[in-house]
Amino acid sequence: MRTLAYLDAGSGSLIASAIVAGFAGIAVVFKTGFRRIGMLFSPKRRREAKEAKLAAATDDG
Amino acid sequence: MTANESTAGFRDEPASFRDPASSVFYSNGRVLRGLSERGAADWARLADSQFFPRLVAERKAVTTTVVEPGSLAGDEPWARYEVVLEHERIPFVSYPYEWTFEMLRDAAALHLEILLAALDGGMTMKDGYAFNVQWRGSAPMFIDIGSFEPGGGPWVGYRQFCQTFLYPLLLEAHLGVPFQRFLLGHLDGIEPGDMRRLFGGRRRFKKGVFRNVYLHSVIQDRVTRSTQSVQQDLKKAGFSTELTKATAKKLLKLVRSLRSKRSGSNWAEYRDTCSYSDAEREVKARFVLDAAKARQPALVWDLGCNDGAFARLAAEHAGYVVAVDADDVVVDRLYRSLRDDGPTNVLPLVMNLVDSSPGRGWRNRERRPFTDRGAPDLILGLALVHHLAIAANVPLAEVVAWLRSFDCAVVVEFVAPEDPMAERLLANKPPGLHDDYRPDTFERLLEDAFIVERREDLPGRTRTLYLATPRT
Repeated sequence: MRTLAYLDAGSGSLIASAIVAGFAGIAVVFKTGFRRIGMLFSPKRRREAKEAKLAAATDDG
Repeated sequence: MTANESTAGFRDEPASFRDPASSVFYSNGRVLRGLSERGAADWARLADSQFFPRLVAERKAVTTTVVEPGSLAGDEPWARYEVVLEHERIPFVSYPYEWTFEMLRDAAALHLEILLAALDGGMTMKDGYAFNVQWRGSAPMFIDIGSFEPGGGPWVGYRQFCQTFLYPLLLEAHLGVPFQRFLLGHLDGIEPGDMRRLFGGRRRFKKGVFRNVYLHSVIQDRVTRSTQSVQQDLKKAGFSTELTKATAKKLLKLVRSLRSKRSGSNWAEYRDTCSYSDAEREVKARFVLDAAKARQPALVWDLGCNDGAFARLAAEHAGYVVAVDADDVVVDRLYRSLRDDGPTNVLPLVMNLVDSSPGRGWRNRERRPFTDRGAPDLILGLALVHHLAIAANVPLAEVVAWLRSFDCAVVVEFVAPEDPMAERLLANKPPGLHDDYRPDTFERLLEDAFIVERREDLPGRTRTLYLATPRT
């Protein structure tokens, strides 16, 4: 069931935990830059992320 | 001697293998923890801190002492570990899928309080796992000393905390769905993506859901970088310990505000609607009290405990009482009354006896079946047999064989088919299905497996109590 086993889903959780901290946490997330942490909300970026995860998940290695 | 037991009698805890810095093992009933070099360094820091001794003194963290080499039956552990610690024993191990809503909520609050104390003391915790909390009666206690490590930055245990504490609580608080089955079915807890699907549409705006579930899941789907690089980026961008504290405080406030949506239950009003008379109740109470007083049992299991009235009585003469019932709402009420007024030696648990907790996790050994976690000296089975035999269709012979399998004294009640409560159960069943459900059948089966030490009819004449000890 864990199709994303090669990608530690903890990275997204870290960002979410920063957002839970409130305004200051959200500011820090903005400061890191969405491009840098690999999170952009454009449809193109979303598609790319999906493909990257799929590629990692289907990699037999 | 089992496969994982050494010649000197050291036995590894099957659930303690994930963290190479810290593993639990047993020797002659003592609970020990071996630490690697890194684990030992973290322990030195923890033992030196101001917050940890305070948590131990407040009984919020497990009592822990250093074991000197030469004081165990063998020196083997010191060949494997840098430092060996000893923990106090937990009277009866239980798992979050056996806890009630309030129990999980109190355990979650305790975990966050401990995280906040650690952050104040310049340390953090590397997980947020509900299984790291255990109970002494109705008091939660944090047991995983290996969780503490120096450092700051965002809390890496946040995800685990969500999955095993927060999401189960949100599920019951907002949707009224009992969480236990979700934790039993998946020891890692509920995934953010699954929660997001359960909280679709306007539900995502319910308290605590938007950030902890919706955004959490959305972000998780989009982030492709590794955890370590994201952690570094956040630190570089100025993510301080203060921010982690803010996260923990927000979570604590949220957790404390949650209330179970489940209130009505089949059994919650049992005492008010059941057919007992006060006279019957009194006879029953005296019977239980006499049995406990005469035997002074170290461990009592009250199976089908309902409101826990008899568990409380037994607790007056017992070391520890584990009170089990399938109805989470009734057990939750019992937990709250124990937490507020005691006694302190009763552990309430939610479990359906015809579908009791199995072995779970790696090789089915990480989380043990309920019946493997202790050997009771006395079992109370009051108003239980008719539920097993009629409602759950377990043959009477099976019920008696099951009671006998615990190899201890039992106080068991048989409710005749004419009793209003038995009649109600029988009314749901096709005629003829329970023709063998008769007092004489039960008594014969009981006498084959046990020696009946005492037998007493209750004043209403439809119920009989037995005190029986195993026939060898």
